[in-house]
Amino acid sequence: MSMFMGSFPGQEVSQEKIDIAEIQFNAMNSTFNNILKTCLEKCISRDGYGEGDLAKGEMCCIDRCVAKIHYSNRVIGGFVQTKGFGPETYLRHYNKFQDTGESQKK
Amino acid sequence: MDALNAKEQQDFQKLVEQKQMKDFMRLYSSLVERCFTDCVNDFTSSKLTNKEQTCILKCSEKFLKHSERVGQRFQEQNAAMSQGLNR
Repeated sequence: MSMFMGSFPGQEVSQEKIDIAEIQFNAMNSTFNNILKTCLEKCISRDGYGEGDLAKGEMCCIDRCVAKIHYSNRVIGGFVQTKGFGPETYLRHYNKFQDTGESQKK
Repeated sequence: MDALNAKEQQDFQKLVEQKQMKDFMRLYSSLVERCFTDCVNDFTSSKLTNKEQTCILKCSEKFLKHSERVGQRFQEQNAAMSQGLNR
């Protein structure tokens, strides 16, 4: 049926692949939003707003903040991997709901 | 992961567009929240004072510049990482 729809005849759409792309996108997106929020809190002074432009110090702070979050992310990622960080061990409350399928597999 | 084919890419693009819109609205409301919280503290009148208004405008400008700069740096970091140049 999809052969006759849209501008890409003959191409199958795998919802699963799109879902995975979405998850990857979400990961990047939440990282970005988190950086945006964190560096705003850390670098932009809340008292007065005498100037609409970023001050020298604020610019400098933002650049370092973004670089540091990025690097911290990688450091923590590496550390956590050595500890066997994973959903099975650290989000146990999920197991209750997945048990039926899981126990059959094992 | 296998690359998406053209049709899948089109669907994905749509998804990203919706997310962008949603995110943009969220960014906007966080701007309003922050600048209102920081600039408006006097409720003896229902009108914004001149001072409050200037503060809000300056605050918004700063907020936008902050977002812009973080966006730029974030992109640079990502690019550097995917090229393996980063430490």
